[in-house]
Order: sequence, then C-alpha cells, then structure tokens
Amino acid sequence: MRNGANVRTSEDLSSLREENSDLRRRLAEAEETLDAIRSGEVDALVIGDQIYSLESAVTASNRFRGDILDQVSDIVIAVDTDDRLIYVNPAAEAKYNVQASEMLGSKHSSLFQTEWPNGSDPLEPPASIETNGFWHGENVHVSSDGTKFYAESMITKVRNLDGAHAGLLSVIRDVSDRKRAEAELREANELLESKVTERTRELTETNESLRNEMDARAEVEKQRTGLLQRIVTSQEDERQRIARDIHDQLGQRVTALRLQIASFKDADPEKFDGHIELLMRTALRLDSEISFLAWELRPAALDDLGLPDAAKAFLDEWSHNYKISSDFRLRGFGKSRISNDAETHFYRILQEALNNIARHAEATMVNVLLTRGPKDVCLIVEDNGKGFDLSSVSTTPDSRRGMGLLSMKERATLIGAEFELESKAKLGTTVFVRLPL
Amino acid sequence: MEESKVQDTAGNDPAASKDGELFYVLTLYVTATTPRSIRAIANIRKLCEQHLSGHYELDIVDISRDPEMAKADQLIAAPTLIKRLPLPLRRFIGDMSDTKRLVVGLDIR
Repeated sequence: MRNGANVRTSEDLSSLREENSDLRRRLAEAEETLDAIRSGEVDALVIGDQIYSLESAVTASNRFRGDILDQVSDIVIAVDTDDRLIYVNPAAEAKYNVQASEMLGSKHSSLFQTEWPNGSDPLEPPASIETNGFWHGENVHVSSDGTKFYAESMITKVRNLDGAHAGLLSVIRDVSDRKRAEAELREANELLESKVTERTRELTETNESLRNEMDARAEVEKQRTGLLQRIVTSQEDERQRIARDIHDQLGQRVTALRLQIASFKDADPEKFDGHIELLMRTALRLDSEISFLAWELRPAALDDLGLPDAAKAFLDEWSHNYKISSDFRLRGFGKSRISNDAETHFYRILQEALNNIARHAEATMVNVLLTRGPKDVCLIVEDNGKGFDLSSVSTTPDSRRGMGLLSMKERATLIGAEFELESKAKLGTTVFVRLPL
Repeated sequence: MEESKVQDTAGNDPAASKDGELFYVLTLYVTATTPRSIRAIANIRKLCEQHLSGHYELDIVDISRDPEMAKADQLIAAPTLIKRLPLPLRRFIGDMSDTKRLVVGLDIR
C-alpha cells in the first residue's frame, strides 16, 4: 500500500509539475495577451460570442480607405519593400482568380507574370519609380491559370508616416477591350488606307487611260483635219491637173482643129480629102483624150460593171500607159456587188497604190488579187520594186509618199476595212486591204 | 477575407514528416481589412516560407466569418497565431513582426 501510495504520490507530483508548467505557460501567454492588448497590438477582442473591434482613429480611417479600395472596379494591390503582397482588393481577386487571404504575404510575382509588348521596355517601371516616384504604362498580365489581359497600371511608391519607403501601390485597369478596339480601328484604318491607295491607283490608271484616249482622239482629230485639208488640196491639185491637161492637150488639139477648119476657107476644094483626113485624126485624138480624162475622173465601168471589171480595166490601162507588166486575179465575185462606197474606196486605193508604184517603186511587175469570200473582201497589190523602209516614211501630211499611204489607210478606215502595208528594201511592197462583211 | 488553408506538403499525417523535419500546423486568426491583420498575414507567410518551407500548414481564419471556430479555440484577441503542432500548443498575439520572438516561440530549428 505504502509503495502504491508512493507511486501515486510520485505520479501526482509529476502531474502537478506538468500542470504547473502548463499553468505557467498559460499565465505567460495571458500576460503576453494582456500586454499586447495594452500596447494596442490587437484589432479585436473576443468575449464570449461577441467580437469587439478596437478601432483607433487611424484604424477607422484605414478601414474606411480599405472599404473604398474594396469597392473600386479597378484592381488595387500593394506590396511591401520585400515585394510581398500586403493588400489585394476584390477586383484583383476576381481578375487573377485568387483569394486575397491565400496571396497576402506571397511574392508579388505569384499573383501574375508580366509580358512586355513589342517596343516596351521592362526596365522602364523600376527606373521611373526610382526617379519620379511612380510609373504609368501598359503591359500584359498573365494569371497563374494562364489567362491574359492588357493592363494599364499606375504604380506609386508608398511611404509610411515616418516618410520611409514602405512599398508600392498599384492601380491596374483591364484595357483589353480598348486594345482590341484600337487594334480593330487600326486594322480598319489600314484596310481603309489600302482601299484608298487601291482606289487612287485605279483612278490614276483611269485618268491615265482617259488622258491617253484624249490624246488618241486629239491625234484622230488632227488626222481628220489633215485629211480634210488633203482632200481639199488634192481636189485642187486634181482641178489644176485637169485644167492643165485641158489647156495643154485639149487646148492645143482644139486650136489645131480650129486652124485646120480655118484653112478650109482658102483651100482648094479638090484637096479637101487630105485636110479632112487630118481633121478626122485630130478629132479622133481629141475624142480619145476627152474619154481618158473622163475615165480617170470616174470610170463608167465602176458604175456600170462593178469593181472587178473597173479594177481590171484600170490596171490594163495603167500597165499599158506606164509600160509595167501586170497580172490580175479575181476570185469569188461572180455577179454580186458590194456597196457603192466600198467599190469607190477599193478602186481609189488601187489607183493610189498603182500611182505610188509608178512614181516610186521602179517595179517591172505588179500583181493584183481581188477576192470575195463569205466573210470579207480582200485586195492585194504587190510589186517587185525597190521597196522602202516603213519607218523612214512619215505618215504626216507633209510627206508626199506618206500622204498617199495615209490616204489609202483613211479610205480603208472610212469603210471599216483593215489596211496593212509590207515593204522591205529591194524586196518590193505589198498592200493588203480587208473589208469584213 | 475568406478562410484559407495552405499546405505545402502532400503528407496526410500533420505531425510527421518523411525527411524527419517537424511539421507545423498553424492557424492565424485575423479581422478583415485592418492593416495589422494584413501585416500579420504577410509576416507569418514570409516567416513560414523562409523557415518552414514544405513543412507547414497555415489556416487563416477571419473571426468575423467564423466566430464558432474562434470560440472553440478560446480566442481572446486578433490577430492571434495558434501553433497546434508540434506540441505544445502555443499562441502569439500581434502583427507577427517580431520574427526573433516568433522563431524562438515556435521552436523553429
């Protein structure tokens, strides 16, 4: 019993020591608690079910500020000098998808990482804060879950009541919508710019095209005026030639005829036979020259028989007149006729071509081919003359040969025909005229 | 401020640790939005990261949101840190800025 009592006493003693130690510890804690309350190190007291906040004026003011910051829609975070989060408002909790209580005390970088868009300098914020006490700028915040947004930040250096650096306060706004709108606006502007550029280019091209067309029309007008002038000139030339021919040839013949008739007055009637013979030859020659002049002006064959016969007759007469051999080939005409205008212009082109050959070509042989197909009428006039360099022949009215070529071309154009000229030195010249039907 | 829990290890037994280090289970009672409480949270988290990394579990409890838990822990004032493990249970009051006292008091080696 005694030993048992001793054991119990020893156990009791040990228990008492532990209890004593615990009581001392609790007493120390109670004293620490009391000291803390006395020295104002606590914010609230818990008595029973009630919580009593111990708000000083400063605390109340801080709470008021905290409440405001809690309600602003912008993100507000604060870090201490060790870059640890000491304040995260509800907007920041929502944006970075975190709980403030989990983040407080953590490094600022655990809340988000920062990306710097092209052209921005990551070293600018610390430099600006150091120099100016703040930094205002934009970058991209990447939350721990990977979500990103464009952030416009105002980071301000915070000082405590003693004026010592206490940390940084950041007010951050999500400007992704604005950035997106800016990007869209930029794209729209670029699109607009590109459309304006494209439209300007089109207008420039149209303008250029119109200017070219105006130039072409001016050229055509110039050619038309030239043509009219040449028509008048050639008409005048033709009148002069006919007048000269009438004066030089018919005039002489008529004078001769008159003198011969006058000689009858004194002549012996028995010698009339010889005079009459002479008179008849003169009259015959006069008749022939009048016929030739009339034929040259407008051959009756063209009106009466049509282009093929008139062309052949002119070629034969021309060939005989200028002593140049010729060959005339006709295909597909039969008895059909083309319009009077077309016949006249084809005929005049042939005349002009042959006159050019007579004047310039020094040819010994001319081939003329006149064909009529189901779709077109073609005239080809080729010679074996000396030919010429096309580029050396101007088609301006002041060149005589050029005038002849231009005249042929214009006659072709007037009836809607195509006109081509081929010529090489020493290889002759070929004129093509094709009238689509 | 929501109640939160930070556990840096995957171990299920809060008192044991695979590498022989003591595992700390701490609860910090605060009142929301007051600077002292915020400082207390920041300070204790910093201390835990620096001295107990991987060997602690920290609950932060807003007494206004969970008064029952505060009552069960016989809380008197806030901010208060309670060390539940390793034993013995200990309490610290204030903004936890006196790191030396905390390191000694928490028996951090």
